[in-house]
This record gives sequence, C-alpha cells and structure tokens, in this order.
Amino acid sequence: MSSSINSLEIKQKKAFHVNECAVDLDFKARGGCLNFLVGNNGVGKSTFFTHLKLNHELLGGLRPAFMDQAPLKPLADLRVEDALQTVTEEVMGAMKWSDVKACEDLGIRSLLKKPINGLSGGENQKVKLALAMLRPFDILFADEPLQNLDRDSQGFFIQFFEGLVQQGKILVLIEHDVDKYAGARMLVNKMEKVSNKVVVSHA
Amino acid sequence: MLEFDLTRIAFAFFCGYFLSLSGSLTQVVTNNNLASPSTLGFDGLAALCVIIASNILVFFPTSAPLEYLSFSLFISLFVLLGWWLWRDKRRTPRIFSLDIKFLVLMGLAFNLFVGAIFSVIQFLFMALNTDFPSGLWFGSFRYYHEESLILFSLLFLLLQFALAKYASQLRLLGLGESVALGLGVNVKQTQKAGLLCSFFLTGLVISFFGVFSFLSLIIPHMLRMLPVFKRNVKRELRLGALVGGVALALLDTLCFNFDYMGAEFPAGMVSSVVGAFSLIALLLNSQLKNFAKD
Repeated sequence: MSSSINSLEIKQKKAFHVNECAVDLDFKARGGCLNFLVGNNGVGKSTFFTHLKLNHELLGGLRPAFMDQAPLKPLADLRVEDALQTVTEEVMGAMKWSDVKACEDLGIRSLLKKPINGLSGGENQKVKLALAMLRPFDILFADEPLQNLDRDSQGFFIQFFEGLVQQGKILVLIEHDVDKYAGARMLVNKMEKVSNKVVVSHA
Repeated sequence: MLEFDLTRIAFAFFCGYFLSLSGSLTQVVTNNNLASPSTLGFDGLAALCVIIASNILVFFPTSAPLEYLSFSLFISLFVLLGWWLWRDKRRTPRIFSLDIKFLVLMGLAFNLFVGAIFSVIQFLFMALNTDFPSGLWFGSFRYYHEESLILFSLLFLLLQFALAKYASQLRLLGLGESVALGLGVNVKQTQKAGLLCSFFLTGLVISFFGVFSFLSLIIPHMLRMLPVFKRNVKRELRLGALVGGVALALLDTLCFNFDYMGAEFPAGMVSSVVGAFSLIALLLNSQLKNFAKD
C-alpha cells in the first residue's frame, strides 16, 4: 500500500538552532526521484533529521523511517537477529521477526547470527537500513548511507534506493558527493550558512 | 545448620532488586555500560545524607530513627534534581541532553567531595574523643525496623507497574538513543525517568542499610553473561533485577550465619570487595579484547 501523498514540503522559520545559529527551512522532497540534502560538515544536516524525528507533525502524515549516520552500537552484545527482533516486538507488537525477504534483498541473511559489535562498517550500514525499514514507511531519511562502503556495495545501495523510489517511496539522502549517483533523477536541497543564519533551500 | 531471619531476607531481597534495577537503568538510559549509581555519584550523595543525619543525631538527639532522617534529607535532594531535570521542556534536536561525560565527572567530583567531608568528620570525632559510627559505612541488614517493610514492598509493586509502562521504550533505547528516537521513543523523558528512578532507589537503600558499592554496576554485567538476559534488555530489567535480589539475599544469609570472631561480616563490605575486583577484571578484559581486535 503506498500513500497517496507523494511529496513533502517544509517551510519553517527558526526551526531549530545549530551552534546558536537559527535555521530557516524551505525544504522539498518528492517521489519519483532521489532527494538530496547537501552542505558543509557541521552545518546541521543531521540535526535537521533529528528535528524531524522530534516533530513528526512536520511530515504531514507521511510515515518516516530513519537511517542514522553513526554505526549501530547497542548496549548489550546483541546479534543482528536480536536487534531485528527487538524492533519487531516493541514497535510493531508482533511476536516473531520473520521477514526473511527483506534480509535477502539487502544481502544480510548470513549476518543474522553475528554480534553487531563485530560487524564491518559496510555490514553495519546494511543492518541499520534493515532496522529502519522494518516498520512500514512512506519516506526514508538516510544520513550518508554510502559511508564506509566499497565501490561494489555503493553500487548495490544506489540500485536499492532507486528500487525503493520505483515502489513509490520518497527518499531523502544526506550526501556530500552527489556525483556518486550520476544518472539518477534528483532534487537537491542545499543547507548553507548565509550571513548570520543557516538556510535550507531547494533549487 | 543455617539459620534464617525471614524479615531480614525480605529486606536483602528488596535491596538487591532495587540496586540491580538502578544499575541496569543507568546503563540503559546513558547507553554506557560503565555508568552506575556509584560512578555517577548517586552513592556519594546518599552517603553524604547519612553522614549529615548521623551527625545531627549525635549533636541533637531525637527519637527519630536515623534512616528516616537521612532519607528525608535525601528526598529533598531528589526533589531538587527532579525539578532541575524536568524544568527543561524544550524539544531540542540536540541528542543526549544529559551529557554523559559531564555526569561521570560530576559523579567523580561528588565521590571525592564526600570522601573529604568524611575525613573531616572522622577527625572531629577523633578530636572530641568519641567513637565514630563506622558501622554506618558498610551496608548491612543487621538493624532494621520491621515496619519499613511496608514501604519497601509498596515500592516494589509500584516499580512493576512503572516497568510495564517503560520497559519497551527502554529496550529500544538499548539499541542506541538516536535509533530509538527514530523509532518514535520519547528518549528525553525516558532518560530522565530512568535516571531519577535509579537515583531514588539508590538513595533509599543507602539511607536504610548503608553503602553497597559496585553491586549495581556488577550485577547487570554478570546477568549479561547469560544469553537469556544478554539478548533482551527488557528481560534484564524485569527478571534480571529479581535475580540480583535473590543474590543479595543469599549473600546476606551467608553473612548472617558465618561470623569472624563473633563479628558479623557486613554484606556491603563483602559486595564492595567482590564488586571492585570484578570491575577491575572486567575493565582489563574489555581492554584486552580491544587490543586483540586492533
């Protein structure tokens, strides 16, 4: 089931602060293409995602999924399977995690019994995405999803994201190097410091 | 043949339960498995209340039992901390509103501060030629007032309800706070509630029975060596703490039955010694594992 809403627009003055700098939002994302948020390090891109996590009402009814930048690092020595089980049980109220297909799509089936703290950077990245996608969603926010990935895996992720777009999901990616996605249709939002303010605007 | 004092066993069980729960809670809400009421300085603050209360009793004798006096002192600190934490209602996008480095350093400072006050008071007692009430310093279940059992069991029941409400959020928080936030957990509120609960439980145990250092740090770690608890934070919070309670009750029963030259081993002393050694072993072990990884 895909949602009938196929775009997201956020306009907000002084939405939040980054290093005591107010941030004005004029953000746009739509289905059918990859949406990017680009900007220098430390300008507040990840903070923008956190702002959205805390203020779901800005999403206008779209169900979000978030893939963080930091590697997954659970407190206890959880295996991949345990993390998936945790989200299934506590967020979706289902008894047993069993969505093997999603795992096969992401190629993490062989990782299920491995402890998360022992995963390589790329594997951790995939598990993070799998966790984010457990819950039904309309819009996926991914914070630098290609970091720590070798060339092959980068290609795999790009294809995977394009597949999601074709399924009618809206994708928003924080990325430094948009050229990696050459050939894809894209909408770029820029986050930059203008005089005493940080401004997010789309081209 | 072992002897049993059922009331005492009940008190030991409740205290073990409260301490393990407060240990697990601090570790989950700070997502740091070295956080505990002792490293965060909760122990130190509560002990300070006991010291102040015992001094009030020495210089201004009243009929009020020491534990209620120090507990009331502690409650005022608790209210102060609660007010400070709850005052801030803003939904900031800054993650980890409770900065863990700050908390740990404050904890260290508090512990040192209490140590300093302790030696000042010890000196005063020495100068005044009075016996220092050192019995207070080690946790022990030798002295208790039976009626306090009502308070402890009520709190135990209350905690079951609170856990039923918060355990799911805490389990998700165990995946990392940013992940939990993305999954719709009210991270800030859960963290505050967890820390306050842990602070309160530690203070209660210390006011009534003295200091059991390291117990709340070590028990969660020991529980997590078992696969049953390792894979599920919720289970650790709900059942693991019960195991901690049983462990302290057993330890105290042993202390009750085996004495040294007629003096009873304080359970708090035994747990401190065992706990400190285990902590050192644990730290070395994790450090060695890191070396092996590099």
